[in-house]
Amino acid sequence: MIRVRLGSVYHYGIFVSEDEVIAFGLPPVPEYQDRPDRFTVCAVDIDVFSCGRIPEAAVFDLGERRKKFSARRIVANARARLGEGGYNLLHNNCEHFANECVFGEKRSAQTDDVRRRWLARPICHIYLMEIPRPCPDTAVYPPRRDAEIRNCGHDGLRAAKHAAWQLLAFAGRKSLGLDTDRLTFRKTRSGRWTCDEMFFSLSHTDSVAAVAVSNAPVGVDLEETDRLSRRFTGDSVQELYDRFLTDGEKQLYQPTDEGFLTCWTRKEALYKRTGKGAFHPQRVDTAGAEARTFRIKGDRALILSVSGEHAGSAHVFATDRERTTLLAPEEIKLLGGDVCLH
Amino acid sequence: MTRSEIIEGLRDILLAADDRNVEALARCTEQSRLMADLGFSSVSMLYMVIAIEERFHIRFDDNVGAADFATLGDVVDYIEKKLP
Repeated sequence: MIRVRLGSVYHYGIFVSEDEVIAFGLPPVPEYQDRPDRFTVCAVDIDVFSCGRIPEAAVFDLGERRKKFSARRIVANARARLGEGGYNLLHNNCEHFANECVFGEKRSAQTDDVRRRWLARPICHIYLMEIPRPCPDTAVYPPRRDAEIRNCGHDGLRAAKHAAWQLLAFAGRKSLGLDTDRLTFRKTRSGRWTCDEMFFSLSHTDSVAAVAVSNAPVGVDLEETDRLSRRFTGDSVQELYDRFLTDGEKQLYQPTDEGFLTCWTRKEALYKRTGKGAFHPQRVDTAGAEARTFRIKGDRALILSVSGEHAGSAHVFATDRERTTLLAPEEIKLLGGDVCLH
Repeated sequence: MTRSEIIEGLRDILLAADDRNVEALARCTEQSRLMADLGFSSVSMLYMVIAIEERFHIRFDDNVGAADFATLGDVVDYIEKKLP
C-alpha cells in the first residue's frame, strides 16, 4: 500500500509495479478534474498516481502485519475491482479501498480522525439580545422556571429573566442542535439551574441579555460600562479595586473603569462556572483562569467576560432570534490582560 | 430550512473548522470562494463535508469530490437540494 500527500490529505493506492498502481479514483488535483474515470477504480502508472509528489510506502506494525493478506492476494483483490464506481468522499474513498484490499476491512483513518475532531470540537457561543419590553407573555421551559419568572415582582427584572431564558432555548437549538423542550433542567441546592445535555450560563444588564452555551462548564457575565461611571466616581472605583481584587489580579488590571470591570466580569463569570453558595468576590481569583473578555461597541458599551475551558475559542453573536450576526473582531474589541489558555 | 439558515449553519461549521478566520467568516456570502477567500485546505473541506452530514442529517452522494464546490453558494445549493 502506498500513498501520496496532496495538500493536507493523502491519496492511497496499491502498488503492483511502476506501471501499475491501482487506486480508487484519480488523485484529487485540478488536472484530473474533468477526467471521466476520476471516480472509478483504475490502474495508472506511478507518475500519474504521484502527480510529481514523493510516494510513501506503508509501514505496518506487528498487529497489521499479522492481519494483512499476502501480496498476491492484495493484488488480486485490487485487480478484481478495476472499473468499480461508487466513490464517496467520506464513506467509500481511496483509503477505504486500499484497506479493504490489504486487510479486508473498510476503514479510513483520515475520515475517522476528522470526524472525531468535529464531534470533539470546542463550542463556546455567546448570544446577545436586546430585552423586549414589556415582557412577552409566552411561557418558558421548564414550567418550574416559568413559574419563578412569573412570580418575579419587578417588571424590568422579569423581562430580563424571561429574555435570557428564551435566548437560552434559541442558543441551545442553534449551537448544539438541542430541542430545548426535551432537555432535563435541574435546580441545585444553591439555586443554580443546570442542564444534563449542555453547559450554559446567563447574564443580563437592564437592556441586554447574554447567554453562553458550551460543551464544557462555562460562566458568562455582562456589564454596561456607563452604569459603573454613573454609580461610582474615580475615587470609589479605586476603592472597589483595592477592596475586591486579589493581589494576583492587581498585577493584571489597572485601577480604571475598564480595568476594574474587566476583572469584575471575569470574577462573576468564573464564579458562575465553578462556584457554589454565595458570591464573595475577594475569594474568587481570576488570575490564571481560562477566560476571555470583549468590549462590545454599539449604543451601549458593554463588557462581556466568558470563563471556561473553551473560552479561548468563544464567538459572540448578536441576535433578535430572527436574524443572527456573528460579531466581527472590529465590532468587538478584546481587552488587554487576556489569559486565553487552551 | 431557508438558505440563510443553511448559511448560518455552515458558518458555525466553518468557525469550528478554523476559528482564526473569524473576520472572513463574519463577512462571508454565497459568492465567497472556499479556498481563495476562506482559506480552505483539503482537510477543512473534509471536515466541512463530515460536519454537514452530521449537522444537516444528509448524506453526500457518491462521485462528489471536494473540487465540486468552489463557492459557499455551491455548498448551499447542494444542501438545499438534499434536504427533505
